[in-house]
Amino acid sequence: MKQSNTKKILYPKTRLAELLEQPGGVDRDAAVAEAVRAIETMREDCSEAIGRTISRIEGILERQKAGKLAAGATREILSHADRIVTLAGTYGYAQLDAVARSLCDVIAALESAGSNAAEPIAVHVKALRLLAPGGTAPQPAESERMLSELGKVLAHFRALARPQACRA
Amino acid sequence: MPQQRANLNNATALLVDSDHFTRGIIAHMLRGFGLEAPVLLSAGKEAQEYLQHAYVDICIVESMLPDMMGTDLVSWIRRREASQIRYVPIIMMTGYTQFHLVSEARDAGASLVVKKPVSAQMLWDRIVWAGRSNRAFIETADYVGPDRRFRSAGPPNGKGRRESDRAGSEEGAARPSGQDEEQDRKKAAV
Repeated sequence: MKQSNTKKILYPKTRLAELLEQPGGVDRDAAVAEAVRAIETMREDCSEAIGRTISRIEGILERQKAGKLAAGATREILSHADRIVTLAGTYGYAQLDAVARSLCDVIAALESAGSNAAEPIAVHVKALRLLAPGGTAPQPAESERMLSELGKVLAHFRALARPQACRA
Repeated sequence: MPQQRANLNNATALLVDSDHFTRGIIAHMLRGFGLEAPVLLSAGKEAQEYLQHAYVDICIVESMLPDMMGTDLVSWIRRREASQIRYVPIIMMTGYTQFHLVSEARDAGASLVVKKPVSAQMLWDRIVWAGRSNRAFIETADYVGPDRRFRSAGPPNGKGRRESDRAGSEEGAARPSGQDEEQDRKKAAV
């Protein structure tokens, strides 16, 4: 059957384009500063939410048996980790952000390697707990060492995942 | 460098994201930019119902909604033939782990794709760019949405402090091949 290859090219004028040029606008820096001021009003709520989200991941891990993650658990943990990345990134918790990203990456590596080991996730969650707002706040050198060790965990599981990916 | 001045005071926005905190953060940013009352929804079906009867100036959509993929919502908006809403700029937000969805988002008709967390600088730049770019709107049997091969250098490469700012900016220059676009225009049946 012959497929239609009709192609229309339009240049529609959107209302947004008109509104942006109306008098009375603001400079980018002023708009951004106002937005940053606005999100700062949520800092406390969001910081508390980070702690609650870590608790949820801890709860999932506690329910796992023999150090193995049940089907569906990694997806659930991943969605919580994604939220931590958003909150930590937005409010400038750089190390927490780095650990949360590493957690997401290690989950991806575990999935690629076909592993359901809970331990690499648990070790990340312990680090998240330490670095969370209101946590014990380790010294910078300690934090760096912790991040470096987590990096090794990630590298290990990525290396395991690579041959799997090659076979696939 | 001159400041990029813009007026968003009378603009309306629809934000669809399943995460309560992300909705709150983005909504606060939008209010900071001057948008009075962004509409906040958590699911794709709700957004479809809302857009049956309403027009917004910008849509911001999460890539994975609880009841459908964000790309399904974008495709639905782009195929609303009787409504001006189909031309609305749509920014899709992906989670840290979902950035692989960028090509799917583009093929569904999203104007831009950004990776969470979204900074205020990045959001302002993307909204203003989406409004001001004179990007063609393409309708074919397989694709309805903004031209995926556009001449512009894309959204400003804002100096966001985050790695994700840089990731988000990749989307702008999907394939900045002006020559291809010119040839397409000549060939196309308008």
